[in-house]
Amino acid sequence: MGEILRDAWVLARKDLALELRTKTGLASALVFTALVLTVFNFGRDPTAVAALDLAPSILWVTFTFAAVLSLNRAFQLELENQALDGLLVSPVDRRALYLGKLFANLCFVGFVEAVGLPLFALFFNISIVHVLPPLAALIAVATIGFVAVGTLLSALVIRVRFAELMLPVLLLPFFIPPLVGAVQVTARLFSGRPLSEVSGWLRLLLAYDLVFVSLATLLFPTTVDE
Amino acid sequence: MTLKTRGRAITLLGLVFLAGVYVRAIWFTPVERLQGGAQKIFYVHVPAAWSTMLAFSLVGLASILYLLMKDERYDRFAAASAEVGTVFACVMLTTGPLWAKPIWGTWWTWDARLTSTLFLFFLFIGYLLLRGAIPEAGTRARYSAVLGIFGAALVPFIHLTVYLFRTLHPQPIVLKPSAPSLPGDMLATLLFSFFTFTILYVGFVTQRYALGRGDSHVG
Amino acid sequence: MWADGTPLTGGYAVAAYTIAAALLLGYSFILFRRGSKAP
Repeated sequence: MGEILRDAWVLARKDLALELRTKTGLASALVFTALVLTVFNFGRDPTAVAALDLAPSILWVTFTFAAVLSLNRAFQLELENQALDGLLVSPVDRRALYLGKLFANLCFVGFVEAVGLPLFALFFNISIVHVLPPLAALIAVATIGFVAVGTLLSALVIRVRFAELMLPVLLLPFFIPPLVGAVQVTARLFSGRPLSEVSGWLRLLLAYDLVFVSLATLLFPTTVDE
Repeated sequence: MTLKTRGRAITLLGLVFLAGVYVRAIWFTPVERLQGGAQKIFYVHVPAAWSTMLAFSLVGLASILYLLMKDERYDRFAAASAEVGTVFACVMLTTGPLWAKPIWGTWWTWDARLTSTLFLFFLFIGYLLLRGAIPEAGTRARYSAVLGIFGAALVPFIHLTVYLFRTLHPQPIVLKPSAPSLPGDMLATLLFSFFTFTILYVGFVTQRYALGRGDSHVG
Repeated sequence: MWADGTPLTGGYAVAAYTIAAALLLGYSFILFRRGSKAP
């Protein structure tokens, strides 16, 4: 087990180093996030709808878009560098491959979210400082869920025709439970309501993470091996 | 009798029964007092949902069995069940809003059955699209099986999401929907319809499976 | 509304039954045709 985690970490660092070298993926994801937030802000009539009502949905739609963008970028990188084929020749445990990819993707998406969140607070004039710890924890839990599924599905579509179109289409149903849960909990946090009200949603999010990270780790070898 | 012929016979039987269901539902089943004629949609809508669920569960099961046994017949069955399930999902998703509008006042309600079937529909479409994009049979079978299992794992989460959402947002009711305990005549019609839709599922899948067997690229 | 107050909703039932029949019959027809064309 420890060896798998160690290999995963090494693989993740390789992916992240590659990303940091070019920086284009990161830059485009950040610009995209800022753009989406700006558009949402101009799209609404501030006198008609209170920011607080829409804010949770806007935040999470933005994060979801950014996540899909990141997953696509990861897959592009893969295609360009043929890195996956090279790795598959080596005897590394496939589960380490998956966990490494997952971790790299989480770092990437997490960074985008870390920049996006203060931007969001700024544009929509929402005070998040007082709920930052639970909010950060929620963002982490929800993000793990959809990045876990996204990482596996992007490995699935990598050798498929129309892959860039296929990935969001396949991913959409899988995003809904964590997304809806995240929005509900975020709404409670923003309006200062106790978290006990949303214990059901929190449990859903945690269960989702558990089930899908396990399932993805289990099925990743089947996906990449001939 | 070949599989194709048997499938055709079963389908034909199912269609005859369907005509029977229609006749019985329209003329020989009492009209529900509160909902009026629209309530009769129930006899087609609910069994269609059942067939969709059945189709999807079997895709999930066949996917697991394929990965364990590597027998391509499971893959062929999964492909057939996915296509047939999509058809039933379309029946459910078209009759649903037509029932919802007079009863609930809106074309769409995020109730458990409609929402779950909508998601099954998306999963089916994704599954069929994936299959269509992979020409090599072995890879296609493997990838489809992975997606099938993932989809099956998602379903309980969809149910949970809808349940949690609904306890927050109870539905406004314009007319009270039919009570769970149905009077005898209505129950008989419903059961007959369930039976018919199951026969149709079997007939459709048998034919579709036979088609998949003839040409290995059709899958 | 009918005279006794029950709602006039039969039209929706007609539409629903027609669409359902069209879908099921249509798919049956498609399967039959594909079966006949296959070698």
